[in-house]
Amino acid sequence: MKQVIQIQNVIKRFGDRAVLNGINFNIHEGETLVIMGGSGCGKSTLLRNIIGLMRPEEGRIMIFGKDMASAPDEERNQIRKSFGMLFQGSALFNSLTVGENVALPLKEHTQLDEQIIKIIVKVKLELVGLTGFEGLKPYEISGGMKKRVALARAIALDPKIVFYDEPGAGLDPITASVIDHLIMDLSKKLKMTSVVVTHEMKSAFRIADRMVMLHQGRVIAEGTAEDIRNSTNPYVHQFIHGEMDGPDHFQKTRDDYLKGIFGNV
Amino acid sequence: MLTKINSFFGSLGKTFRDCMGELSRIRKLMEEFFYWGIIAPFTGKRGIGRENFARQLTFMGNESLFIVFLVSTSIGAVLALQAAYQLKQFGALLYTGALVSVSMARELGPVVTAIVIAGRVGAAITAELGTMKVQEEVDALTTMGIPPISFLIVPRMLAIIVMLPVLTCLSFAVGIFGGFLVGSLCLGIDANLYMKASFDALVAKDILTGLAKSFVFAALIGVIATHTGLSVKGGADGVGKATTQSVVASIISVIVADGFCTAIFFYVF
Amino acid sequence: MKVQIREVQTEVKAALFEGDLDFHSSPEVRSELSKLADSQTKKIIIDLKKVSYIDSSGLATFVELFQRMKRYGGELVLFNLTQGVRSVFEIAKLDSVFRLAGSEQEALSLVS
Repeated sequence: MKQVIQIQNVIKRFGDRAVLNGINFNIHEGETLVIMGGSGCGKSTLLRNIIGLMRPEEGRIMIFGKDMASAPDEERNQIRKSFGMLFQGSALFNSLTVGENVALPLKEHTQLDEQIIKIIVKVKLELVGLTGFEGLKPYEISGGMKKRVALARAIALDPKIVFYDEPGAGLDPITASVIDHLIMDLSKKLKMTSVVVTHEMKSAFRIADRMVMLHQGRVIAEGTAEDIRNSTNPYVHQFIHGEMDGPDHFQKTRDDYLKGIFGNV
Repeated sequence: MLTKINSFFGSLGKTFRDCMGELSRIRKLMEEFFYWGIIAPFTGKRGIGRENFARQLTFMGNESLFIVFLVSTSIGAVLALQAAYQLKQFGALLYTGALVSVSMARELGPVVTAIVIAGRVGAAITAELGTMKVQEEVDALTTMGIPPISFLIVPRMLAIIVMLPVLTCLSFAVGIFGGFLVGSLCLGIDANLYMKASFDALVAKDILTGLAKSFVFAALIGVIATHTGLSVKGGADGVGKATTQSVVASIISVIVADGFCTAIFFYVF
Repeated sequence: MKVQIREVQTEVKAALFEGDLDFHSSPEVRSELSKLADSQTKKIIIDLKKVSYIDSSGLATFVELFQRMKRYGGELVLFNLTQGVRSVFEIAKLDSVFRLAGSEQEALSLVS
């Protein structure tokens, strides 16, 4: 199986705190991989490192054999053309219409004629089920539609990989499941590799071919949905069942509490 | 006592460190601006986005034309009245026009226009860029392989650098007109004589001085507005705070820079 | 990208493309095809057997040609599509709009 992304021993620190503490895993060609974990586990930071919004202190992030972590800016922009990214809040440009948003990467990175770009935009919008919405501004459409436009923009340059940051965030359950199906559908049809970061279990089990679970900056479980479901790791168990009691306590122990109030007595 | 002194120097050190950090970020912004605004277009790496530049120019013109017009007319008129009040005592009422035109060209035109632009355009730039930052639009540009400095900052900076001097010229002309209205209608100075006095007193140096100032102000407002916008952290309240900060910092630096520029022109040229 | 254009019958031109039809090559293909459309060629058949990959820009190039030919009443047939290329048409739901043929004979019979 071909590896499109290899993450090797990635360490990212904020001050003294290692948010990513030696992450290792591979992403196979054509699969839908879900990266999950609780708030603050480092999954968003990991994603930002992969797409090059941050640089890790150590380790390598190989995308199609090129290291995103150490490449100079110009080369990183080249690598970026091979993937698309769907942001949590869609991140559409409000001053541009829906059509212009989808056209932007095409205008910036290709020498295609205006007329051709227009047709491509129409095809992409049809793929996400939004035919005829080109002329609207992003603030005139609903959150779910914005996500779909953002998806159309992410696949504008026919990327091989698409990243999704919490695709269901801020959407009602029905719309969220529509988006999930769209992700599955497009990844299959367009033979794309999908990397989804989420903490929503339902959505994760719905779309994942494989899963990676992060906790405190480390990978604590990796495998198919079935593997994760049957995991014996107590934290994984607590997380996927959404239980309050488990290794990750909501309340600190009494000793910690007293120490917090009185200092070291 | 010792802890107090310690904490004082501690916080002083921290402020100093913060300032240095801010300055180095501004320097980085300027470097990137020069790269994407000047070097990249000439080496054919990446143009400056004409469409965007034109859009910014129109926006800035539309936003501020009327206010600049209104404010400059009033200032010209007030200036004429105040000057006449003093000049009358020396029987030099005729010099009102000269005083108005020279001070509009050298001082009030550039400064007033810059302050209006800082409040209208500078604030709008900071708010827009700040909103784009918190809504991940800037990150989206980066991940699309489009350098945000080139796409967002360069057109805005260039537009303000072109637009401010143009508006300054307008402000200067309208200010003289305001003074003229007061001079000829209220003070009873002969219209022809007023105009003659206005233009006789002006030399090219006065206008050039004013334009030079407006370039400096434009650069200041541009850097402050874009830098503050891109440094926004947090949500909507961050944008609000940054916008206020941007306007206050722009106005203060325009006035301080005005002092420096005036001193330089006075002593050096 | 190699483009060969020959006249197979009166008023029927056949184009053979060789290579990938992607963001880099499609502007060239477009300029070749617009020459045909400019001269109002009545019938065009396009052989895609040597095109193993086509992306959105390639697809859009054909859509544009189709639109232009429709305006002057021309006919366009694409034939010998590889599986990968055919699926690109299917995903964009354009397989029903374009006339797709399995061989040159079939393509010729469709336009005559």
